[in-house]
Amino acid sequence: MRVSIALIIFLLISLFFVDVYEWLPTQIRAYTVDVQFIPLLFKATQLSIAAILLLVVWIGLTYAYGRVYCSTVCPLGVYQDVVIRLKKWMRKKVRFRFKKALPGVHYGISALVFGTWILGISAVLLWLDPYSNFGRIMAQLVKPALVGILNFSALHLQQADVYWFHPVNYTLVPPSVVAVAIIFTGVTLLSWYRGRLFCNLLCPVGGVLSLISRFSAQQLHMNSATCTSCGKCQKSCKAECIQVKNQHIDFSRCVACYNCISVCDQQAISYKKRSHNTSKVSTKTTQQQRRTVLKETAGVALSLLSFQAFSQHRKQHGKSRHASSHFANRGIVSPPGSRSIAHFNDKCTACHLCVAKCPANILQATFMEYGAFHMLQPKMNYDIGYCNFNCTICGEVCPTGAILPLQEEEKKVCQVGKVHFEKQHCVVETDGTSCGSCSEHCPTQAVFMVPYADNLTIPEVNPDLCIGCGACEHACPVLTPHKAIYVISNAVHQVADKPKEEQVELEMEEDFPF
Amino acid sequence: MKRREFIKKSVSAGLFASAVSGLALENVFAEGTENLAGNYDLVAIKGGEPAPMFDKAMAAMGGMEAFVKKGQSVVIKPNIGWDKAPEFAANTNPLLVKRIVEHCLMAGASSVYVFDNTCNEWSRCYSNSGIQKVVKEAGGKMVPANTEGYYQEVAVGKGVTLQATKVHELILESDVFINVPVLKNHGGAKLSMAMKNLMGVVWDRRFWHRNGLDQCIADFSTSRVPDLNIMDAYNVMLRNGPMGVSTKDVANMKSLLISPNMVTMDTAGAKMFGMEPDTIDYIVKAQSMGIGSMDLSGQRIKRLTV
Repeated sequence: MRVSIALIIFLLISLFFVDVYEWLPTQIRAYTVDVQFIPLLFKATQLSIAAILLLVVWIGLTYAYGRVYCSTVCPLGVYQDVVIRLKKWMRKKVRFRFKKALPGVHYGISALVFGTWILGISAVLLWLDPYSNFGRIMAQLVKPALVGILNFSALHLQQADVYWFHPVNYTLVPPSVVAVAIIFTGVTLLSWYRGRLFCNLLCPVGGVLSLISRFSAQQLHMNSATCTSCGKCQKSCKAECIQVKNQHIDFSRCVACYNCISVCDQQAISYKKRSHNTSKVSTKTTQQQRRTVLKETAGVALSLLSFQAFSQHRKQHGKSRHASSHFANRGIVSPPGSRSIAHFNDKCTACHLCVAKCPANILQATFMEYGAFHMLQPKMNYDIGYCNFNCTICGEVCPTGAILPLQEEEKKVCQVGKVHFEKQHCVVETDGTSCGSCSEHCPTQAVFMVPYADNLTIPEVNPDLCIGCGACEHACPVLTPHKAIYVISNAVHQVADKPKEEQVELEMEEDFPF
Repeated sequence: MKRREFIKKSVSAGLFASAVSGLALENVFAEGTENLAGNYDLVAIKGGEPAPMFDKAMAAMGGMEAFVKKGQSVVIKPNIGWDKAPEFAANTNPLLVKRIVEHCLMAGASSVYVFDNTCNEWSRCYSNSGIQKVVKEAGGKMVPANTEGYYQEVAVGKGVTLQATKVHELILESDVFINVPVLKNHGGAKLSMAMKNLMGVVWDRRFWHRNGLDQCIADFSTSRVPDLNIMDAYNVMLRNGPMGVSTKDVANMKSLLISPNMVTMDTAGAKMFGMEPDTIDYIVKAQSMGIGSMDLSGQRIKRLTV
């Protein structure tokens, strides 16, 4: 039962991310992405009632039965279980040992994550949130691999005149792929050798739920009367939290996979009401708690320090964006619906769902462009493509509210940047030949062609009509020194003017003009 | 292998074209023989809906059987460049494309392929233009053109600027090539018609824009010459082209042109649009390269109304 629910959620969320042929409706989001803890937390801070309720449900469930979330809802948790399963299938010995808990480190890291997040730094959270890590693995590694295989087969089938499926374009920028590949390898190796150590050492969601599960009403216990100390449960515990020697289960680390229950021949492990007894354990906990508090304080102090660094960084960043209209300082453009770069930076966890879903493939992970605190957050990358005029998908799928949903009509006037034209680099000026590629691709005719010498036409721009889709920049054939027409970022998004519409008049003679 | 095939094809296409123009010159004296279908340099029709206009004009042109023989493969290249609904007239009218596919299949074509190397995201262009749906309904094959793998490098023998380019394999391999542009305004090239429409069969358009658009358009017109050109002028985008901003840019011209020669067709198209053909540089260049004649007075033209 646990396994089937976990697999359904895991497969659905994976398919939703890769979805090469855009088969799945965006509503799937509600059952997969929208139930994830960190996105819920982001939505809750934006006062979404549904998010607050579901968060309460997860916390309540943990308070009742422990970290059920970690083994059913969390895709990165289930991925680690899949790795452990694979290890078993490959006939490798899967034998876990009890390891001492490091609650101080885990809670310290979690405190640092949430502390920095409250101060407006997404950097720590972004690297450790299990859902976002899973999303990035899907968008940056799994989807491109699948696209590669499908495109290869499609092209070969088409040689045989079979057009069952078509190749799709899915480009990525290398730095993000490398970064995600490193994390992917790390998580995989960690789970191969140490089970759910990620969840009990690094994961901020695991940290919160672990703290709650310490007080769970029902906890797993070993029945000393029936237990024969055979050690099977300990070997099967991927959280490494069962100590047969003392017949003790550290429930704060238990991810509720119930492997121990199913391997036990004596049915010695079962849920029981939480007991408050044994002074030995309680002194230990107070000690631990003391240590935790210390760690947390250190964490908060650290995060305060980083906050200062961050605000300074932002000041510099913000300044350079406005001041100049030169190509090098044109700034970085955030997706339509993200309101402003500041809003986007604060709310985005870089789960890359929008990257995976963008039909134009224009949303691409950044590396350091937004600064060290916002690595991997996506931007509009006009080298790869340009934003589809009619498309609103990124806002429809974003689970954290970093990109807010826009109606099609709002999107068509959502100005994420403004066009800038440098006549001295345009081919019409430099080579005296016709072109018009920019105007051709402009959906609002913010770039339009006007008569020029020698029976030619040359672009002219009306930035008020421009929405910053980047079609002109992408289409411009000039490469050196740089594009002759490009988009300058709006640090705060604006509303563009609507193009004027006036019916054209047709003068047609009765006869053909030839 | 592919290149040799292509060269053979372009040579035979060239022979075919010169044969047609030769015929046209010889037949000037026989202009009165109205009952003789075919052998027109241009059939122009107006006043009807896309499909019936095409039926009548094609019959005057000698029927599709004159161009498509039994068992031959056909590739149709409409303009599907933009993610726009049919009423914007940024793409070729789907009703016309459908009728052409049907004519080809009725003439005995073994298969009919339709594609375009689109400007906007291709799958949305294919579906929102309405063309994918009608092609499937009519029994044609809608073929993708979105990856470089479909394109093969060929030489453009007579090209001045464009001497080699990557062309979609179906253009090279199909027996019959039918070019189906839509007449519309174009910011850079002034008008988009038959020759301009061929930019959608090559992979690297940026080179054309970078190195002299008009010359490249003319150069490529010496390459794989379409066997037939059918120009949609039912709805015509008069400004803000080639994509258009709103349906208010569009006039209902209710016309259609058919010609085996692209210079003839583009000259006539420019006149219908209300522009002087000699202000459109690529037509002038194409004429000087011997692709066709801008002098319509010496050509056999059939004018029809529905």
